[in-house]
Amino acid sequence: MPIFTVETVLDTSNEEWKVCHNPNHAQLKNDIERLLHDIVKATSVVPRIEGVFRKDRQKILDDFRTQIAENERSGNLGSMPQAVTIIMQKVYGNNYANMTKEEQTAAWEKQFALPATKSSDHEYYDKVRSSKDIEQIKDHIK
Amino acid sequence: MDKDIRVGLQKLQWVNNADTFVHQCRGSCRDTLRKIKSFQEHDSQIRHEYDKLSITILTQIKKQMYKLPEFNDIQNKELEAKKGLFKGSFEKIRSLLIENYKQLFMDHGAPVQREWINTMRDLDKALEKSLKLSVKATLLDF
Repeated sequence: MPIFTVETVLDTSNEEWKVCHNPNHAQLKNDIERLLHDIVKATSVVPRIEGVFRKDRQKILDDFRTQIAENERSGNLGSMPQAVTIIMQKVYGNNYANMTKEEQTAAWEKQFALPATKSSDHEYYDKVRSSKDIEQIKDHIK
Repeated sequence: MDKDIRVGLQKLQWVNNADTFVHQCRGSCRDTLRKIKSFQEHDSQIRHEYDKLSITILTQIKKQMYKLPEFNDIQNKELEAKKGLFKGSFEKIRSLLIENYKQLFMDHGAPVQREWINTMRDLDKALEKSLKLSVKATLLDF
């Protein structure tokens, strides 16, 4: 627990010596409340894993599709990295060349479809901020 | 691995080469074991980061006399340092997860993708819990 000072003014002309709170109550309360807010807010630097994972995964998949498209254009489908070749085999089998663009897209989306994000999936900060436990302790400190 | 083992579950003919079958199965099992070990190692590192986050105290409050500006300054610096720690841990978790996914699950079908998303949601809950514990411990440290 931090300690802040209370000062007494040694005033010989007055029997009731003046007491000075340093810092004063309002300022101390205000700063403590701000600190409590900042403590909870620190969790906002961590985003939800699922959301970040979906973005990272999409980036990888987009990269694979770009590589496939570029190799197809240059007629080098046989010389792609192994990871891309495996993915291609899984998605299209041996039919890639016989598929229309729409069929290729449909096969790709079918293979990599993910369940939708849940509407209740808020960021951690929102959940921590609205947690009853945390609210109770904050009220107690204030 | 299923593909390699299936060969041995069918009737063997005199012309079949049993040695080749055993070698292929052993190679396949070794490969599977390597993947499992890698997954377990990454998972253990992720759990370690969670534990590290949950015991993080975000402020540096001692039982001593403070001037308010000095107190605020110390806490702000500590909060910034701990935010950096949060970010670092999150990035580590993120890269371990995407590595696991790329190595083991990316090219599998819809049921595996669904399960992976469920795993992400479990990890989300665990990370939320770790962050709550950290904030709670910090507030109780007042």
